[in-house]
Amino acid sequence: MTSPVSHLGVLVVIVPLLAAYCAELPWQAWRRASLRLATVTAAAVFGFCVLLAAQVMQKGALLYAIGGRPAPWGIEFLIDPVAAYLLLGLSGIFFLVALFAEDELEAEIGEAGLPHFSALYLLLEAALLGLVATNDLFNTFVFLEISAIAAVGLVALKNDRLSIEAAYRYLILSTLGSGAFLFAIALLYAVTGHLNLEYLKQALAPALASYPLSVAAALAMLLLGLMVKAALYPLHIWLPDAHAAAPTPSSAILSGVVVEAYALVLLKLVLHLFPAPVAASSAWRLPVLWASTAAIFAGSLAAIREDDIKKMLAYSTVSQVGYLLLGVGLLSRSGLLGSLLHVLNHAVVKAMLFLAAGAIIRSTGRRRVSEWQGVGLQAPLPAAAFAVGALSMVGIPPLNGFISKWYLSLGALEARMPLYLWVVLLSSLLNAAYYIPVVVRCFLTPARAGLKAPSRPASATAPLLVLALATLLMGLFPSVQLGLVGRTVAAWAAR
Amino acid sequence: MTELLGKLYHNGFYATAAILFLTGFYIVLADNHLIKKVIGINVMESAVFLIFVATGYVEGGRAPILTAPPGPGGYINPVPSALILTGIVVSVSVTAFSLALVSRIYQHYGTVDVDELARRRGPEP
Amino acid sequence: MAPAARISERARDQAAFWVSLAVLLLVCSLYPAVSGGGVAGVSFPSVMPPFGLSFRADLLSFTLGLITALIWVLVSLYSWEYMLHEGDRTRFYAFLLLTLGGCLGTVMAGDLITLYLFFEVMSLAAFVLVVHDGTPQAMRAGYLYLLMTIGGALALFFGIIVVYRLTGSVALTVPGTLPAASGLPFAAFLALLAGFGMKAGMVPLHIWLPEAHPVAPSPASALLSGIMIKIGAYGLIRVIYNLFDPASVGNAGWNQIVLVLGAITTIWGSVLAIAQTDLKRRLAYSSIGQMGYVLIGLALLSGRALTGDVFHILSHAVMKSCLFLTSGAIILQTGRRTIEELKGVAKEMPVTMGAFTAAAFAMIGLPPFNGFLSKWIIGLGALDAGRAFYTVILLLSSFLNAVYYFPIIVNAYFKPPAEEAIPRREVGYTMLVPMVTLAVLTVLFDVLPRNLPLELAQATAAAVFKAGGGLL
Repeated sequence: MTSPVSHLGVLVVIVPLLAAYCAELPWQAWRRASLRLATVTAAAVFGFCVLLAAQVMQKGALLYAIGGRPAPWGIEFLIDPVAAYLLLGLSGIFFLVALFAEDELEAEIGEAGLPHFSALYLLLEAALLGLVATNDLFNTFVFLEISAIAAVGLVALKNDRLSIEAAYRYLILSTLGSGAFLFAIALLYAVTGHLNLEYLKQALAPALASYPLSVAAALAMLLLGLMVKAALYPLHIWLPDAHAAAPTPSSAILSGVVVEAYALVLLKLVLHLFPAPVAASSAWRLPVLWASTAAIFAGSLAAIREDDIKKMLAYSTVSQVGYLLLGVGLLSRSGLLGSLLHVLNHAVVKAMLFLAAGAIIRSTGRRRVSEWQGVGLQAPLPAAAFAVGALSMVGIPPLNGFISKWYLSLGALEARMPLYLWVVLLSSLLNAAYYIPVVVRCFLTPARAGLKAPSRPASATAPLLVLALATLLMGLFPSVQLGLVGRTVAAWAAR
Repeated sequence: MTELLGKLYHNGFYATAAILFLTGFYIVLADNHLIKKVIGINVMESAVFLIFVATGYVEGGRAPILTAPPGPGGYINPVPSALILTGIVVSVSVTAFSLALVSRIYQHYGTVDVDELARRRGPEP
Repeated sequence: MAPAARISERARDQAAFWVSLAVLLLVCSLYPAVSGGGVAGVSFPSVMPPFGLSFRADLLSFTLGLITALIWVLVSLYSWEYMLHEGDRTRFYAFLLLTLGGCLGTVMAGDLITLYLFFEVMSLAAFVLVVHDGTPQAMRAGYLYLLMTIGGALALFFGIIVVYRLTGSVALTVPGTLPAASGLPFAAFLALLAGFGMKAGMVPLHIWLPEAHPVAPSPASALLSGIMIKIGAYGLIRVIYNLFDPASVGNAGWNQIVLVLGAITTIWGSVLAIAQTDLKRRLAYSSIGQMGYVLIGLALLSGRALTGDVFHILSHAVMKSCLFLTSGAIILQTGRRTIEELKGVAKEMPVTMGAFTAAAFAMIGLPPFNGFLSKWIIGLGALDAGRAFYTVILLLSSFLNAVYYFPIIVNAYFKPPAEEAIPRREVGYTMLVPMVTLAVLTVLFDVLPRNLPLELAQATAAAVFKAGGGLL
């Protein structure tokens, strides 16, 4: 317990949390430096996560009791392979987006906003990583709230009418979700007397026999709360405005990481916590499946009609959340695997798409995709990254979107619900319908007369390159992810 | 009927909490006033706090201060109370944040009414 | 094998040619390994687990790979001059080679996932070739092509995932592991048929073809019509003979579907070709008609029909590329696109028109051109299989071919030109050589004392049947 390495699990949360406070130091000269602080911190956290993942690969799941107080009284962090996989991916994206923000952000929110951004950004990182790592239900709630406030703050940073309004709506709906979530915690605590997930799980099976109604109500509230936060259709109404109005790095994080983390919490709690008869019950699976299907189609159709690129991407996120929860509803081994892989696959791709879109908007000043003729020649690198992301979204092999699509489809067949295979296939077609024309317009139509794009510094282009490379490599060599995720999923699906 | 009323009486905390929760929920969804929505959130959250604290309540129990003797029902469970302290802190900060946002909205639009807002924003650009 | 590494090379005019030539030689070097019905394979199991990426070449792969690389060499030679009047040549050549990589990867694929991957690469790269001109017309055709391609890809994906679910493997090495009677394999079969049939221009999934082929630059049209649609047919051969097996496909009667669609495709394509006034559109419809033969040939499930089928794939690749290249040359020199305007063009461009005529005669199926031989063999194969009806279809379509090709030739040679003819405005040598080579090949394929292509086709068909579990 004494060597700093053994504290890694909690360091990934503590370090950004402390740095968040440092970011708000009030000196004028500190304003720009605070962004650098965010980048460095995110890099350090990424380093911790790499070490953690290496340890988990070697020794299996790590359990960490905060303050040395063991469960059931203290708060525990549990870094199992799935958590390690997500910590690694999410912290990596946080690092890259911070790097991107160093050059691009000031143009959007002004110098005075930079410390606020850095603070909220680090706060959000601490909360999301904590959300993934924690093994305590109430602690989950606290992290949910921190992340909600930080995320809303990131939306509101631009301080224009649209973003303030979107932020307000986001906050109200998110708080509704939190209320439902806390209600569920109260019910579960009432019937079991535990908050630690492991103890809760063991106590739930007998509790189910005596208080079936309370457990069912808790599950319903839990799902409701997290579905609002993860923006599952029809509870997604806050998402498109909020994601589109935020400054580019915020959008990338909101669409790429925040929504995914919530979906993951849902997956973890529902599958891990509840006893088999409840977890496998079609009473919640069917509504989730329907909602996912509706999300996939409604999101895509809205995206097809949308001309504003950031809104289009936001609607695409709405439909991708449907993918994430489709695998949960299918509850077959491959389906869960597909969902978990898609969490990170989508995170990487969507973050890249938002960053690329932001870079293109900055270079050309055009937000409407109908004006993107020949943009590929003016801003070649962002446009190429956008193209890679778009193809991955459509599910073209060997990009990572294909891997998610493959496992989700296989999951539909395994669950004996071939209808959802068609859902996945049709939605690929819909994705193609709005992504491909943009790419074609970028590269294959003659450019409008316009300024030659100023050359970007390396720190702005490097994140795009790394993400594009990750998109390809995660598709070509998914064995790392499969190795980390596969065992946990097998354990879940066996129940 | 009397049986139902009796049950309600014995589960008074829960009944109250349910009523409060639904009231708050309704305000958030149905009211057009932005500040009232924030109030609705608060009403809803107090319902949750009530139900949470109620789970730790023991009839006739006393606060678990170990130097004082226990009441006739022993000590009450302190964990929910402690948790709800955290919950209240969270709720206060969310309220403060949303009120700040509302005042910004008022600066931008000059109104805090949802319909009026939509009207002043005009058709989608 | 090689193509994946080849595509990244710096692609400019000469480079494209030399790369294609190198690929051709590499494909030829495979011959010793596959000649006796052997299989050369290499796999990369660490890429894209759990399936891994695997390549596998047998005689069928070799045959297709050979003709692909050959046509590519000639077309890239032709492009040197032709593409001078087009913009964005770097992009054109890059995607030309990418398409080549996709085609060869598809025919050399050792499992369905690899095949799907390269099939997608080929289709998407070819999209860039189709819309190369960037005109609104080209973009419209391109979108239709893209929509059909992605739809077809989804059908393939469906078929592949059902196969994987049923057998736990996507390898193409074990035929007949799928039970050919129940519903789910049938759904997979239909999906694969739709996916590959779409690429092969099978009616009713052909609608993209007459739009996309004519708008592409002529070298690209030659490749689209000459090679890429054959890749669709190749996929169907793999499905019927390697994934399922011909015996059970025949017993289940699934080949009937392909036969009927093939017959409809033949007649429909030929009839519509007559109605076209634009030269390249007429050629595109003719491609649809010719693919009908190929579909019939592969679905007759007789050894002789399959021989004719493979031979027709080879011959049609040669003659259709020749036709597209010559019409490209005519359009380039004279700017005339409709058949009406072709009057007297033979006096202006005698060599080009000569090559065109040879290829057109081959299309109609006149001896001594290769088209005659392939139709003859498929016709005999139909009789072998006891389906004389399809022999009649072939004859009828030959007649229709004559109806739409003769007017072009008559116009070119015997009608007086509408305006003052400019004698001898022939294209340069780099364009003439590929056209003449192809025209000579159409004759050689028929009259060689020892007909190597035919023997290759026979050996291929035999190997395919042997792998597919007999029936020959």
